[in-house]
Order: sequence, then C-alpha cells, then structure tokens
Amino acid sequence: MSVEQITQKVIDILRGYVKDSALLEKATQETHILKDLKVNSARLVDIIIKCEDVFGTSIDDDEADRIATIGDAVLLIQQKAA
Amino acid sequence: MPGVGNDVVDLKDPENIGKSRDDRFLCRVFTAGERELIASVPSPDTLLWSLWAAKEAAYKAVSSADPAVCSIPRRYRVVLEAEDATRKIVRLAGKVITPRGELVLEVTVSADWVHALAAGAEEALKRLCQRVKRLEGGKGAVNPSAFVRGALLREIARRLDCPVGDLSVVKNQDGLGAPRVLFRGELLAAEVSLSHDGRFAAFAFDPATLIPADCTG
Repeated sequence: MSVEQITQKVIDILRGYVKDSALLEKATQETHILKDLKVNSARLVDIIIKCEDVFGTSIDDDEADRIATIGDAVLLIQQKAA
Repeated sequence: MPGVGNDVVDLKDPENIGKSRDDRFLCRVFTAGERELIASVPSPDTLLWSLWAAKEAAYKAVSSADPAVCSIPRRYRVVLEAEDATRKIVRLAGKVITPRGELVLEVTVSADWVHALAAGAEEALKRLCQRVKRLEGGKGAVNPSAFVRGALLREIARRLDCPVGDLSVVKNQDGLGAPRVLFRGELLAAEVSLSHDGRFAAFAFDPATLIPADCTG
C-alpha cells in the first residue's frame, strides 16, 4: 500500500472522531492529532484500535506513544506493512 | 518537580457512556488490577472515567516538567485510598504511580462529571485553586478552549486585583507542555492546567505561584 493510500485511510478513520471536519480538509502529514484536530486523548486510544482493525495489524503501547501527527501514524503503519 | 494536572470528563457525553463494555479500550488503558476494580463496582463507567481522569491529570503534571515523558495510560497506575461521600458529590483520595514517581491525587465525582487533580505533594494539592464549570450555552455553543482560558483568567484577575485584559494564556511554540500565564507581558511562575470534555471545562493552578517567574530563583 502506498503512502498516499495509507494517508487517505488514516484520514478516513479520523473523520469519525474529528468534530470540525474543516480541520481535516487542510490536514497534512505534520497535523497534530490532539492539538490541531482537537481530538481528546480517550478518542486517540479509539483511533489506534481502529487503525489496528483497518490495517490488520497490532500497535503496541510504545508504538502508540510515538503517534502524535498523521505522519507518525502513516509511517508506523507503513513500517509494519513492510 | 511535577507541576499541576487536572482533567474533567463529562459522564453523560454519548461517547463516554458504556465505555466499560469496550474490552479493547479497557485492556489498552488500564492495568489488570484497575480492570478488576472497574468490573466489581455498580457504576463501572463512573469508575472507569475517574481512573482515566486520574491518569490524564498525572500525565499533565509530570509532562509539564518533562514533555518527553511517556503518555502510555497503563504506565500511570492509580491507587484509590479513601472515599468521602457526601449527598451528591464523592471525593476519592489516592495516588498515581507515574514513570516519574508518585503523585498525590484527588478525584471528585458528581452525577454529571468526574474531575481529577494531581500534584507532587499533599500540601501542593490542598493549596490548588480549581473549578469545574458548565459551558455557557451547552456543548457546541462556545469554543471550550477559549471558555476555560477565560474562566481561568477571570479567577487570576480577581486574585491579583487587576483587569482581565492584563492577563493572557500562552503555550510553548510547539504547543506542548503546560500553559503559562502572562501578567502585563511578564511570565508568571504559576503553572496552570486546563481541561474540557463535553459540557464541562475545568482549570487548576497554585495561587501561591502567582508571582513573576523571575522571582522564583
């Protein structure tokens, strides 16, 4: 799966948790999930669980702790798929 | 030296109701002992969000001094020690064992919200000024971040006997770490903690630290 495809799927997942959809329209790899998209920490846990389901992988605690931006999530998923 | 942490959770928010039935969320966030405790009480959602708020408050307190500290919820173990039940509000005391040592904890539980406070020492915790406020107009009617900043600044202005316009909340350039307060352009020593969820917002700070940051040595 290409970086673009992973990014699109991550953004699709985020759509279910970001209340202001306009924030997602201008999202980039550098967009911070908590600070820029106003997602709260409990929902970030839900997003990680959803990523596990969508990408058919498992994300351990330390890997999850490194996810701050959309790019962090994309890179992690890309690495796990390699 | 840990700072101040607070966290509020709206118990009636649709996204929070029934979370105690979400096994994968429980396993990712709570230790085995915490999960057993949640499963053993009559109101598991309330205890779940009390423990969650405690972990979040503790993370905010330790990350204010060390923004790189891990945020993995399971590594913030909550130990509740006592219960002080009144008619409508229950106060739980305890501690959170964090990757940077133990913090003292107080969790207040109402019918609508839970609010946790964490600090490095008992005397610091008791000194804290904290408020939980209902968002004016309800959820979605106001920007909750702006609302809680305004409520905090009004409280500090009252204590410093100055116009609210003399004060502002600032964050680090990267947006991480605890927010700070400027008084007439000068940084105050006070660390503050802000939180909002659903229909509620909350803040906490140590009134003893409402002095210029450069006076703290």
